[in-house]
Amino acid sequence: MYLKLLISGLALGSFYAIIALGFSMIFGVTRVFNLAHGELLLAGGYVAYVACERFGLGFWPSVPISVLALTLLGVILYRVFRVIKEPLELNTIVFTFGLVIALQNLFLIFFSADYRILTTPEWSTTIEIFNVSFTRGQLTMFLTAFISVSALYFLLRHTFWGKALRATIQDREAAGLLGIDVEKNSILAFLGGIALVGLAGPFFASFHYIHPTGGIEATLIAIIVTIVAGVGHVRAIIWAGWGMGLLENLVTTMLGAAFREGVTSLVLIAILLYKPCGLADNQ
Amino acid sequence: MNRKSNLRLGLLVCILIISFVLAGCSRKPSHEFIRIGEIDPLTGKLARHGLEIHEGILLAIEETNLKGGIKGKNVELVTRDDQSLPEVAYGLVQELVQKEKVVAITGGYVDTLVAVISEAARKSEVPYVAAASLQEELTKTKNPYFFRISKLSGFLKPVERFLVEVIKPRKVGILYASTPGSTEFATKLVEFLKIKNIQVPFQEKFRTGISDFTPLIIKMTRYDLDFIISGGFLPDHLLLIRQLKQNNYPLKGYLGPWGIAYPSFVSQMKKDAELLCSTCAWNPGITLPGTEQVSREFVENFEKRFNKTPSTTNMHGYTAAMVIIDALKRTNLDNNNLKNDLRNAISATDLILPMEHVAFDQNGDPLNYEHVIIQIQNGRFVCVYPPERATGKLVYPITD
Repeated sequence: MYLKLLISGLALGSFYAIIALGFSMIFGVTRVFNLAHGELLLAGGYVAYVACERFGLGFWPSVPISVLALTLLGVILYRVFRVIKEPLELNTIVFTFGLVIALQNLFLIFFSADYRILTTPEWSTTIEIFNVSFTRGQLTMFLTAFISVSALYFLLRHTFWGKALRATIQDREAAGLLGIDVEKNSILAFLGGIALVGLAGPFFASFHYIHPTGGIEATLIAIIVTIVAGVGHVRAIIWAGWGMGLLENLVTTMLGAAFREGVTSLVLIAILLYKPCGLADNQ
Repeated sequence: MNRKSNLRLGLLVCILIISFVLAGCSRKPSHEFIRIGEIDPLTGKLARHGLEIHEGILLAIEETNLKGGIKGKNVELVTRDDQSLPEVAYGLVQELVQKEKVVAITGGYVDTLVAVISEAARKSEVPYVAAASLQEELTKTKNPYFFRISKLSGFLKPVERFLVEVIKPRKVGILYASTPGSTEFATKLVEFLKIKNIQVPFQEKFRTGISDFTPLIIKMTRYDLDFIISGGFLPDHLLLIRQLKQNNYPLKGYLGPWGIAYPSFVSQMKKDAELLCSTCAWNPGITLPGTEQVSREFVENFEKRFNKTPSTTNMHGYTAAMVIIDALKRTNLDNNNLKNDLRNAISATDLILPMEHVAFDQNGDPLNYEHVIIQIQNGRFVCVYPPERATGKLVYPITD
């Protein structure tokens, strides 16, 4: 039983990490506090839903379509964000709150208020690795989160662009003084972050469900995981996600589902009191 | 430059003020119409069901106007969106009564919203007929202006009888959402099952909207349950059912009183929806005996108007609006105390509609609201209980 719980907790945590990656990257580099993160994720989910249900494409072909669609949307959004004046964090909250309402209404017009779910029957099949059974869905979630985080980590740690980007995350002004093109890095990070949102959309539509006002859940998950991990700490996102997934499953099993949110929130508050800048912060 | 900007700003403000004044004038209530107010969650997390109720109400009003209105006067529907927020709903009652001069209010989905609307209606002394409300507490307050066409026992009693008479389980598992209606439903069902010596070894409350039921499913596997009752809503069933399948749970029987008997649920779940049970008060193929013709007409008119098949929630909206329309027909519209007369007329309602024979007790609760048990068979809703209304045979257990 505990092995099953461990696997389902890791799968849930991987799902949380996939949701949070794009938010963390955008907030870390561009300081845009994107309250519409969940709605953009839903947009990716709806694109995948249309690709699958209307055009008969499978889940995997719908993923690059969602990534591409969101990246294009990201180009438009970035142009708008550039116009926003200082204080950037505060003004982007107001702007993205407006974006939340606009997107919710657009979803309502184009997709009605119905709940939609991407059916992936192949994910229900069980596979066995070293005498441990997984569903294909759990394994997919785990591998996608692991590969995405590893690839992003490699990019940030071992490439010149990645190092420049990290310098931008740590101190924009100092990075600029050192000759790093902060503006260019911001565009690339923003589009990269939005592309990650596009990657998460189809997973959200399949592992969860989508409906016009369902973005708030995803935004909250992204904010919590990012804060617990520490802003800009990509590798810590997967640890934070797994930690949350395992904790939620453990509380549900030991104490009951009614205690899930309460106990998890208390633990998160305790972590932030002990480590205010997130788990990955060394200070 | 600054002066120019100030002038432009001043001009803009003047234009805005004039526009608001003109808009206000054009919205003055007309005496040629009887105005009925509607408050529903048309946006926010409950929008899906709020919009369905709205469609039902709209159809009832349009049908009435097509037939010549009430005593020669057309009915005008004044709709307001509470955004699924109780604090918004409260203020809308005052606006509808004082500004829009409505004679009655209808709509409302879930008790958190219905409760505040009913309280505001009591203060404004305007009759309120709620389209979807369950909690027993709400009618215990003896609010003379509050009526509802649904109640919790309408779901609970048929489920209790179905379990005892048909399923005869040894062990039942109960999952329920942390909403007032679902919690009350689960609490009462557990009490009943204990009296009948049916074990309930597994009962869990969950927050509606959670992503992962796997830990609960793992817990359930310990108990060899004969039947699962899940008091969640449509999205919860979408996930729970799929995760039960993914975890190869040996499901013998599953009933969700809310959210399963909907065409959209079947279209999303496809074959995973097969053989699940639910309750329903009405559906295109399931109607109160003797109302088949009226039910068919409703379905035809609805399909023509909205280009889709009506659901039970649409019918709840339609029924609530028809109660007010019927009462208005029995009221002297020129009376100075119209709202009070209308309240009396509603309390004396005796109206047979496809969903129920509507009549109210002294607390405003419906006397005859009762669901039937349906099972999804080949993508269709088949009534399996009670026997006198059954249109097919129950398949149980599922996994045999």
